[in-house]
Amino acid sequence: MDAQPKQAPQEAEPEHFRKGMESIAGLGSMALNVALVGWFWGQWSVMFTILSVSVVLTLFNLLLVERMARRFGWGVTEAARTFLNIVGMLVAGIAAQWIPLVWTFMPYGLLWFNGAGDRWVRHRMVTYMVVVDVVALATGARVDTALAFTVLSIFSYAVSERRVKLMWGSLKQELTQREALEKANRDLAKAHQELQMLHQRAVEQEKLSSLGMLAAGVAHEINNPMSFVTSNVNSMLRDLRDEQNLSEVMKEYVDDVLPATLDGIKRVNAIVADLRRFARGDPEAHTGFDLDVEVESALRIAHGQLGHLKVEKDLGGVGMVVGRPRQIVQVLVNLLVNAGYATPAGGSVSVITRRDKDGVRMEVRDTGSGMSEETKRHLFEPFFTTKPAGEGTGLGLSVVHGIIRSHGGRIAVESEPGQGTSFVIRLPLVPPLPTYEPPSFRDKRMGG
Amino acid sequence: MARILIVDDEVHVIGALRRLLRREGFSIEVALHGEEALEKLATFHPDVVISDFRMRGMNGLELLGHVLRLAPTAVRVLISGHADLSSSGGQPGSVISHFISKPWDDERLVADVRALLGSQGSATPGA
Repeated sequence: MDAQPKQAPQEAEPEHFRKGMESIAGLGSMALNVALVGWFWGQWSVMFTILSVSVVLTLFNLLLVERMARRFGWGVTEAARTFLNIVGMLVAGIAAQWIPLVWTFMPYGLLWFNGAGDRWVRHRMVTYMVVVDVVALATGARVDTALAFTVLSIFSYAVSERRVKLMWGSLKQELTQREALEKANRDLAKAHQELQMLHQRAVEQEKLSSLGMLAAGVAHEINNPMSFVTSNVNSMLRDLRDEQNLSEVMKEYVDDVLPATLDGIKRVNAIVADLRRFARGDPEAHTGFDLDVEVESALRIAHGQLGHLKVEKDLGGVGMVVGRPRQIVQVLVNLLVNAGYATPAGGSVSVITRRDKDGVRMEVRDTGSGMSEETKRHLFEPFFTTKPAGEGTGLGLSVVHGIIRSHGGRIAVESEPGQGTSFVIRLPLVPPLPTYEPPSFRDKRMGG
Repeated sequence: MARILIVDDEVHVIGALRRLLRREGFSIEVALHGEEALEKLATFHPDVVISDFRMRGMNGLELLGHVLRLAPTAVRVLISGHADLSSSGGQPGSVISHFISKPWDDERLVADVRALLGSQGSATPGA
């Protein structure tokens, strides 16, 4: 004998929920079966009949229900299950002469009817009860017992149906809430990530712009004394050259020492000029220019530093761009010279230009030594250099950064130690104007 | 002989400019700040005024504004170490005739001054 659940599972029903219910329902019918077996111990034919019914129904539930449901749908399966339960109930009831212990299966089975979803569930329940009652009364069941268990069954079903409906309601609500919560969480995480990215970019900009102001101040302070140092050494050299009778020592000054000094001075002035460019951008006027032509020009200028490498260019015919061509050439030369420095003989450097929907994309890629995370972090800061002391000023890439920014563009670097480096520059076709405002003459903090 | 007034609050800058321009044959007068420069204008009538921008008291641009009123024929040159203002030369009105950035190139500065004197001479004969 069996009274497995006859719920009509719904699409929305979580699998684990249905499984949990079924295991408890199975336990209940097993307990009733054990009681029946105990009651009819000794009357072997009755006991055997009840056991067979139980085994048949259990096997059907365990082995066939899922497969049938998959093949014919739950409606057909539940109808078959109802039919089998009716037959089982009748066989067992007649064999046990309708004692209350057998009747118990009826309300117990209806307790597990699932009221939600399947519109045939009530029909099945009514059919079940009517058939069982009619046959039971016709085969000698007591009327009062049949009435008692029928009423009990109806209300077991009603209570169960109501409870299931309420449970589904709250479960669905909870699921909706959980979904909304998860979505909110995802949105929040995304927003947080974006915010963090913006913050980091702002910090970077802030750092570079305060360094820019510092650089401008330093440049100004150096320019003033350098102006007379340069002029004085120049005058002195010219005056000494005009002298006829110089001692050997003074001759050495005129021929070697002073020219070398002037050369050093020129270098200092060039560095300061770079610093100033980093701080302010160059006042070169905006003009339309062919980017690929400027790339060729930069390659010619940097040629000397790239002699040991294979130079590849892949120019995409990007056409006219508005900006400051001299500065763009300077950017490319700086990147190419760096690439030449970082790449051992036999490696390669490539320059790629492309037009895309927002503007142009330039890439300078080498197969050189690459950079560490630490280097990448400080790359664009003035005075940061990985070259040995005295060889690099650490201004090249900060100037590059300043120029690209003044063009309304962006520069990004991709690099792994040992894997080479790739600088990707994106420029708008027309930079946001005006990008360069000459410092006001009325600003008293400036000048000198 | 063209007369040049040099104004800068840094003595060494004045020294260098004076040395450079004197050997080119100009007659030089110097002032350490704007007020002193304006006093000099009473007795000295320069063809060129070269002024530093940032100075204590009056700045170079204000000084050159006064110069424009007091000695309208003088060429007004602003010299500064702050930033490249060459592209905006002559922009704030016609207060400055020319801009030179520090550190200057000796030959270029002399050539510029000569050129300015030449154009000034032909534009306002008898200055």
